[in-house]
Amino acid sequence: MKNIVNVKNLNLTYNANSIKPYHALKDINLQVTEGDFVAIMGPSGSGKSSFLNVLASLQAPSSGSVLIDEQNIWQLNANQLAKFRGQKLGFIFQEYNLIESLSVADNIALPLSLAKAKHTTITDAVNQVATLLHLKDQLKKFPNELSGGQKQRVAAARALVHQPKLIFGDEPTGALDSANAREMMNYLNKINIEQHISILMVTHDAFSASFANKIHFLSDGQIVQTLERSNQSRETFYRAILDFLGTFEE
Amino acid sequence: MLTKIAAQTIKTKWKDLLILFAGLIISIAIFYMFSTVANNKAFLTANTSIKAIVVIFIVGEILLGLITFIYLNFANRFLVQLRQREYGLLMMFGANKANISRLLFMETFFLGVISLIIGTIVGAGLTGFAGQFLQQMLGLTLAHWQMFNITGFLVTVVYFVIVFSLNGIINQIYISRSNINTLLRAEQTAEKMPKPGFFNIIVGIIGILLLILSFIVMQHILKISILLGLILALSLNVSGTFLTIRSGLALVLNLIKQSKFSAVGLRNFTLGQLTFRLKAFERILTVVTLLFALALGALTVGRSFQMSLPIIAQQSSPFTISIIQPTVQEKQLISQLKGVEFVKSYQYKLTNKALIWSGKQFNQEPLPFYHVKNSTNFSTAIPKVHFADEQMLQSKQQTNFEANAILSDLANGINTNNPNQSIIVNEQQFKKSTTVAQQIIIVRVKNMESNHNANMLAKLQAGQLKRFSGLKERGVSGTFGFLTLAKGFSGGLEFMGFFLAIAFLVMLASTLMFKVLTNANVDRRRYNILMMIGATPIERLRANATEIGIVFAIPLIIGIIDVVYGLKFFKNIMADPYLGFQSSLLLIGSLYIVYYILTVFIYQRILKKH
Repeated sequence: MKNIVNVKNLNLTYNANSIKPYHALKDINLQVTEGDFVAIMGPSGSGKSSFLNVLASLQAPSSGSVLIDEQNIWQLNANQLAKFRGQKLGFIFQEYNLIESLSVADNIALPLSLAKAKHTTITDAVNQVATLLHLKDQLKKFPNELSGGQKQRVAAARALVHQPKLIFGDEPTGALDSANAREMMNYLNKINIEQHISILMVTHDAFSASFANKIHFLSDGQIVQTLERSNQSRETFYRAILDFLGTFEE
Repeated sequence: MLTKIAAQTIKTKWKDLLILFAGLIISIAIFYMFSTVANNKAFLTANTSIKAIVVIFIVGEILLGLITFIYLNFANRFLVQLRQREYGLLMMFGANKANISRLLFMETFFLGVISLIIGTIVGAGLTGFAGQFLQQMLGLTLAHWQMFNITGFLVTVVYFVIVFSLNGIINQIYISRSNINTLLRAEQTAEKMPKPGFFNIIVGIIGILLLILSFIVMQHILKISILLGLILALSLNVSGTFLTIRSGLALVLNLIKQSKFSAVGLRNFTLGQLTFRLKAFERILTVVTLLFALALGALTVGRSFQMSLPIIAQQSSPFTISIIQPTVQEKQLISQLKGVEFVKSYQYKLTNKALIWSGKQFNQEPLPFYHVKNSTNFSTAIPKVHFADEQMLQSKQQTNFEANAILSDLANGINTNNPNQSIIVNEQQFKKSTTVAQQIIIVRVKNMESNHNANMLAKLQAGQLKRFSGLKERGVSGTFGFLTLAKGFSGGLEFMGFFLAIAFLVMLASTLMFKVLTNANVDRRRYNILMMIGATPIERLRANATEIGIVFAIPLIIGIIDVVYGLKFFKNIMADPYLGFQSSLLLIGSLYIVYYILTVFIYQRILKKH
């Protein structure tokens, strides 16, 4: 299996020219295999959000390379980068990031509209993801008419509609209650297994992380530990994560 | 501590404040210029014979003041909205509402003092420049023009102190009504999407119909009673504009949204944004539309009047200039005129009783006159020149009256002390009079405004005015003298119309600009989402520019149609009210477009901020 993400010697330094530069990410190396579901965990200030931003092409690193689907993303110019995002990446954020002025259907359709897909292609694709994520009845509604769980499903549908290679999640269950969080993670699991889309997710929640196949723990801008689920059940993996977090925090 | 925070804010936020500063300085400078002119009694009385001009200037100043107040309010609200999260944080750390209110008041006060100082200095410069500019552009001599006038200065200071205080109070009320949570989460407040219900569809259609109806009324305004027509047109137009913006445009946007056209690129996003905007902008866009139409209309009417002056002048007399008792130098100047259509010379004798003309000379040199058909409407057509011989001048027909009017005009110029005593006598009677015969020459040129001719005619006119002091009051007979008098008469009025229109537009466009910019912070998140989804920088810029462009285009389009139809009203009192339309539209449109580009530029800057 080929690597969907290949990170080599990644560094991110804030205030590099000042007397006290802050090294947010230090020499990180990471590979994500195609079809993997990977979680990044770590305490506040460990650099996990910075790491996700660099991987997701939202923030340029100080040094090192990030290859996604064998493309070094930081060698692309702004237009190429935007096109790359539009074709290969999907995003799900804690704050849903839906556009209030657009209906649910229009929100989901945005990546395809941007890619100038045909009207019928857009309609079919929107209906397909809406069925998968149980949003068929919500398509004509506007974001302010939805619950938190529904909003996050719309965000997931939008991340999925153009069949990206990789979906980035930034605390995707952070704003949801436990029932909605569980539901959301089940959907992400389904997307990963049924659609063969790789997922890379940053979370502080052990329960959400237990849905991943692999968890990398970040501390002070470095990967300090990796846990693999292998053949464990989700519940067993969840307990293993909690056990590790106990020792990790000590 | 609060003073320190206020001063620090001005220091660190100078880039945001710069927008407000620029607008404020422009408004203070123009207000100062108007105050200086309105309070410069010597200038006003020297440059116009209508006393009402002082009242017009004061009305203009009040209108400008009102617009300035609205403008400041929007500008201030924009800045408060930019910083409400900061105020919320200060309150969370223990500042009470009174502290925040005082902080806001101090910031407004600092801004006020700085902009008032710079604004009046710029205003004085602008006044000086405006004087020069007007003299060159309009060909006027503005006597008693002042750059500084103490009353004008004091009026400006007092007015702006009041305006700043009122704005400070409004800000205080706003803060006192908000709680910490509202301020902290102001940017996250969800907006509701207006939905096109049946009622809205009906209202939208009614709005568009009312607007069309107002244009029909304007088209036929001269056939209806003027007052009734004006009231009807205005009420239909205002309500039509409001309802069209409120529901009609939303209806159109919805129809486009449902079509396949909207599915491509960011069109759907732009349409969604616009539906949001129009709901929030319905009142301001209505006001901006009407005032835009007023500004364009005022400038067009002023320009049309100015541009139609040469036509009116040409219609006033069949000859360009009359030279009484021409000297050798004056004859030389006449011979240098270009495009001469005719030069006619007449003999007259000014006796104690009357001014007498020999009838016989009109058989050799028939007298030019205009024969005009009776019409209530003004026309831009120059009448055909007819020529009257002795018989025509003595007959009882209408043409006799028109030809004799020319003769009386010449006689009045010659004999300013005792006008209307002009008689045509036969050759014998003329010769019998012992008074020395004098000569008067009338000349008609094709183009009196060409540089060469205007220069020669001005010299001839100056010579006549110098030699015949009685002409100073009534001017030299002929189209050139009429034009000179008319320019002097309307100079002050044109000046005010010109600057009032520009000042209105500057502030209206700024108000719209601030209203648009108020949303930039909220929109930043939406455009960031687009970036993540894969919209290229140019696609995002295009979407943003289209969205703002349509908001700016609505008042422009409706306003232009308003003026096109509204000008028909002036057909009753002007030769051609449309003469100045193109140049006015070019000027106002260019300024408006500059504002639009500036708004997109600042919007982009705010969107790119992290």
